[in-house]
Amino acid sequence: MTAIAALAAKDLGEMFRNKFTALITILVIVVIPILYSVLPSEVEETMTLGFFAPGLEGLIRAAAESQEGLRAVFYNDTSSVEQAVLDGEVSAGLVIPASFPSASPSIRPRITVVVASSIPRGTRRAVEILAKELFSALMGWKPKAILDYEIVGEDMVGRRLPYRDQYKPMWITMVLLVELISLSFLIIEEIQGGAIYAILVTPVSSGEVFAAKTLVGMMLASGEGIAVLALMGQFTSQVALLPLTVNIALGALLATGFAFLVSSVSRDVMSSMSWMLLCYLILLIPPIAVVFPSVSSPLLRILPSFYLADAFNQLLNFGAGFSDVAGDFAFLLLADCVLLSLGSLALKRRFE
Amino acid sequence: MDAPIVAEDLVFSYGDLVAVDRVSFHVGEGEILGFLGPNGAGKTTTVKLLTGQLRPKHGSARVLGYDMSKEAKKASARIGVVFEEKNLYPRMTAEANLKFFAKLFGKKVDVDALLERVGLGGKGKERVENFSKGMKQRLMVARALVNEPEVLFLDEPTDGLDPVSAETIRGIILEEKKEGVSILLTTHDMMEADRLSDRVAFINEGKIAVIDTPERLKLKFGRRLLVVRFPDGTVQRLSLDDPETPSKVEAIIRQGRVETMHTTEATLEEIFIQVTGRRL
Repeated sequence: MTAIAALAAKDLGEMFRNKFTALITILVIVVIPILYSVLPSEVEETMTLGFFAPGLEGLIRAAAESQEGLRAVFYNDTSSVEQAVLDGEVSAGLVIPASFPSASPSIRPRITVVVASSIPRGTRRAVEILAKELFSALMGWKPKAILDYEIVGEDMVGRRLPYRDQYKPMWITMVLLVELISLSFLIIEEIQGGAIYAILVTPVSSGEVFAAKTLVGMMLASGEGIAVLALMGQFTSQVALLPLTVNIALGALLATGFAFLVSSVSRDVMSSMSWMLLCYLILLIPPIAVVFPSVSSPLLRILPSFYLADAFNQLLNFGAGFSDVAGDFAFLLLADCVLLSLGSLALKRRFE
Repeated sequence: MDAPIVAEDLVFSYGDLVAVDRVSFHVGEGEILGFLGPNGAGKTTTVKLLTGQLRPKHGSARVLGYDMSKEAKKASARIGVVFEEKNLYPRMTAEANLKFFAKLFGKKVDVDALLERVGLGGKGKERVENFSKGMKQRLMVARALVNEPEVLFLDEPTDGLDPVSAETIRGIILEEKKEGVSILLTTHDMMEADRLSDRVAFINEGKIAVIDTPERLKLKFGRRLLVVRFPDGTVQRLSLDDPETPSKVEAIIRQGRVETMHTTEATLEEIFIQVTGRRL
């Protein structure tokens, strides 16, 4: 344990003595919370709805004007409404049958709500409320209308969130994975400078070297993650802290495992820079998909960073608990074990 | 009981290139074995095999009775290694480098005394990246001594150093020998090997060509000569092993024209060339 502590203290010191690794470590802690703070913290209040409501345009326009936060745009047919929704011209569309005005409280009219897959569930709920308010204003009574949803594109799970909260999973994943760059840079430097060989002729085993580096990777990535989340004000009563901490730790291990692998295949500092940037950028694609599900491909689920970002999304944005993210945790744990084992083995071969 | 360092029939290859080919030798307690050879002869690979950094394809490397391919960690607490490359932590201070390695050995070290011993007194707080090559090399020697080793592996410890640094290191090597430390010294500096080593081994293309004391090698392979220089610049070389030499010397002295007269013996370099057919 003394040797591991000495190795870890040395690695931590080296991390901050090296200007490059110190800079990127500090930079993410500063930049991400600033980005978070400058993005809008509230959702857009005015919603634009597209209508195909033959014969009802005047009435709807008048009713919309009386509704705060609603703007109505009219189209000539259902497909035009669908296209407008897909193009993002309107938040959602409503197709109202011509028979609607003759409906009575005893008859449930069928209204089709057209929503795009890129619109979170929260928006749908808002559309529903607005539609009911509109009809109430239109008819003088709140209809128990049957709202048929037509999803244009892939459905999206979630609620309507401010932009900055939508991006949170991506940012925190970025922060954790930055340690992939710092740690692999230090390992490569240690191999290239030969200092690692001086360590390996002491009584210290390669296992102790890896344990110390894993500890340092965990400490730095977790520390950065916690600092950034704290600066973003995410440690609130709405967030389950224990699963959040577990996810941070699993993410830190993921970064460490990738750092080991990148170091094992890099010949020198320059080649390691190429490898680590490639690895970092590839790992950042799944978090983007978590933020924008409409661009998601099932293939992205192969990458462990998808599960990391997904768990952050659930925990930070939707108040999820352990049971909600258990699947993500299981996959991450498996990926961490595989990466750390493979990385350590590959590095050990490199040392020898 | 085994000698502190024993190499038996060691073989190691990098792919198809045989770097060490059936190398056998031992280094006794308090002995310095000079391991001599040109670059690429297999010196550093032999050191790596003996320090457990590489595993032999054949044969055995034993240090302090431990098989270094299986029990290197048991021996490593009692050995010190000076590498050919300057593999210190450059952003750490000299003091931090020594303290860090002492911790890995579980030892407390008097850093100031150790730095003083290698001629780096007062430099403990300076970052190693600001050190000259000679200072770094002296610090590497100090690092190899933090655990007070019983066996030292010194891989080209004075290569490319200024005379002062080289002399400091040679002095330390002799001090350690006096303390009973067994030392394997690889070098291609024949003068250094001649001065420091109890025995020398010539290694060429992975094989040991010859191993013996410098004196015996000189006797065996060298020609003992008497060199006579005359005032007109002419030189006459007489073999000391020629039975007619005493009478020839007497005649020369009687002529009264001798400017200088001295005996010479072969250098290790000349013997190396004679034995291996290669220059260092």
